[in-house]
Amino acid sequence: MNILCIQQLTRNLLRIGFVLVCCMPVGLRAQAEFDQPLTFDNIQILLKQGIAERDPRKQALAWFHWAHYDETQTGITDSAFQYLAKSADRFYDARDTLGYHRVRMDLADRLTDRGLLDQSERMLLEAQNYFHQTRNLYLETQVLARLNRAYQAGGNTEKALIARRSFVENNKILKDSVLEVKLLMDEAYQIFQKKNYSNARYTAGRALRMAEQCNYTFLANRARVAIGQYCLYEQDYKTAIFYLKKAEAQASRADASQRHEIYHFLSQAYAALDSLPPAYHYAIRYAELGDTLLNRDKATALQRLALQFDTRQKRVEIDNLEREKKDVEVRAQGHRLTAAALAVALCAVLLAMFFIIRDYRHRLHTDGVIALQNEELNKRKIRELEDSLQIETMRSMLAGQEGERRRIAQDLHDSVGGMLAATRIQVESLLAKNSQLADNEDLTKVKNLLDETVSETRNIARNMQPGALMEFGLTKAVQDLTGRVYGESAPNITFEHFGDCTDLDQTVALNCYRIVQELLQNSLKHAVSTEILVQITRTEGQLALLVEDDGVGFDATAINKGMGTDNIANRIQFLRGELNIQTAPGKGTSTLVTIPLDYQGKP
Amino acid sequence: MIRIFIADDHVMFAEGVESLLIGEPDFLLTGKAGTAADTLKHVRLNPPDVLLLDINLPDQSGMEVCKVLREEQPDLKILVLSMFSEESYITAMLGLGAQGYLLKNTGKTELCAAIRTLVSGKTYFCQEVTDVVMRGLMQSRTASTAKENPKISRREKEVLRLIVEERTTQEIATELFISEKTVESHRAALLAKLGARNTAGLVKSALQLKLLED
Repeated sequence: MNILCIQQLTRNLLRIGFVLVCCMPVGLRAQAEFDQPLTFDNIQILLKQGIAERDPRKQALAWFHWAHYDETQTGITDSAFQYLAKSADRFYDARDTLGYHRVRMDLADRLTDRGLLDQSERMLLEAQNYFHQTRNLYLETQVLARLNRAYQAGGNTEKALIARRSFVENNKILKDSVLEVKLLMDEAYQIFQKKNYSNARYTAGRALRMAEQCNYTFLANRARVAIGQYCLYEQDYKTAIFYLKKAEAQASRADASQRHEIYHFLSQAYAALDSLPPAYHYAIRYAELGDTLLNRDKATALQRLALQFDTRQKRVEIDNLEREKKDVEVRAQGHRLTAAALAVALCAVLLAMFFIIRDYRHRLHTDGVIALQNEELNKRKIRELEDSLQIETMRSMLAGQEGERRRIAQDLHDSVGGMLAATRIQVESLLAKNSQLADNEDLTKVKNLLDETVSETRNIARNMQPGALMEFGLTKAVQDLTGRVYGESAPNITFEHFGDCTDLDQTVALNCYRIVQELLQNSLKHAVSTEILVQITRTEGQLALLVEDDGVGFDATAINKGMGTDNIANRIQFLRGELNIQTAPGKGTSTLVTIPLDYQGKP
Repeated sequence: MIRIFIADDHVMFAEGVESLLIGEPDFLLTGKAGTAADTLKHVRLNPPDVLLLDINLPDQSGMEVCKVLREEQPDLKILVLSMFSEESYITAMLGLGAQGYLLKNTGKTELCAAIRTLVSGKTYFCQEVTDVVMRGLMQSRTASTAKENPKISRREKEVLRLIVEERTTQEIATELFISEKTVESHRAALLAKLGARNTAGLVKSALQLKLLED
């Protein structure tokens, strides 16, 4: 229960921190709002608030962070592009020019990546102009770095040089070495694309030295991979391998795409040196990683598909609203044409008609205003429908019954259980005071009944929410679970665990506990077994849960649904794990669940 | 005179316990508290001989209280009075130095006996708690005898058979329709169970213990 309190506290602290950020002075706040990454939950909260309060600025911020979350956490760049565009739109609605240009700056960067250089340049120049006028040195410098990149991508060396010079001037005051390193990396890449490999390598080397000096491990590693790549093209394979090996050692486990790149280059380099075993080794790792990356994309695509399917009905509603909007537009255009015609005609008519004209024009104006308002209203409705749709689907996917279970279990254990225990002890004290009551049969019955109720309440609470799981971790909780099965007719249960499970994410631990609980329940209920083996094995990057019995088994081709298999399957899917059942009638059942732990930082 | 302090956040329960103890001439109740902070404050100010301690306190866990007081007052006897009957909680409290453990469905006779036993320098556990701890001990005993007679799952047996047949991890994975990682995790469990250091050790144990004969 204690850990629950701490959780609550941390959540509150986070919320307070979040509010604090919102209360900072405007200049600082604007910067922190963008640069401070938000958790997925906070993004959702912000977006919901924004919609509920009809505050376009909050919505804009939420979309901006969602875009960055998608790019950094899931690697989905397409949605990021859309979200940034949405964010810019909302900032425009909120009349927040700084935010608008700040977001457009990031948008431009992605346009540069896609080769849409004209639009990118235009956006960046507008942003630069604005930041220059408002004397926002920090953002202006950021824009200059991006402009330099865009110009270089377009082969406009002269303009690129000018942008770079201004950047260097500004950065002398700002001293933002991250930006400097990034700029160098971009330049190296541009040089590399012009096939001037040794120069590219030299420039990347400068970036590496600078990053190392400032302890930017992530950037330094990117530089190493780049140097490795350039050396590879320069046919200096030994140096390439030297840098890539170093990069491999430094690469974070979570950054699959970087390791993917490293393995690819390493296998190429070894292949070029004719040392085939390591080349093969890295080729295999490259292919494996490629598979997992692909699977991740597939899973995302499937989720999206489900989302689309669910939302078809709401789409129809959106379409209807859009059609209505178009109607209003057409009508408004009609009005405008009439107005023009009338204006020409009225010019020729006598002054006496003036009052009538004015009357008519007045009416026209009111119509226009109403049409405009309707249009704005429809637009907003469409937006709100879209937004709420996405949030609700996401949330219902992520939020399970666990929260509710926890609350009920806690109430049962603490309030009901506590009150029953108090009643029990009061009866005891009554007995102590009146010794002639001690032999009263009815009172003994009441006491026994109370005892049963207390232990039953405890059992129910325990099954709903194992307190030991939060307090002592997965293996202790499972130990309690298996320890509770005893008695003459109960099967002999062995529980073994290998490897350290104490650092597991809490959601992962809870779901694993439920899976083991459900599997054990199945073996106890249906299998009629004498021996059950429960085993948890943690190895690097994987957790394996095994429940094996020597009971009746079943026909694997006809798994019936009443066995909680749906529940297990859902949890396994949620953890991106795999289920493997070996069974046959009369041969016992062996269920193995494997869960990859690379992605488990965030489920 | 035995000085007793009660730490429990359920007022009704604490009062019930109090009325049970009040009739005993050699008992003196020094106070009651409903939170960990209050308990620590009172016990430090006016140290009792025996502390009746609930694990589930609103501000801090009873475990924390037990840990702190064990260091500060080595002579203090701590008797846990809790709803929890799980092995994990019981062993945790014993590990932190509690001398007694009763469940909350206890009666007057047992409670008084427990307090007196603790004061005489011995430990006291109610029957259910003793059963739970014994069952845990039995389980760990089977685990320690596992070396001579290890319990190997059917899947591990399959993997072991293929290892003895000199198959590679990849071949084993393909044959059993599982991933290479899973083969590795079976291998890790086998190494630990058989106390072997490498594949050669696995093969040796498999043959010595005749694990592959049905």
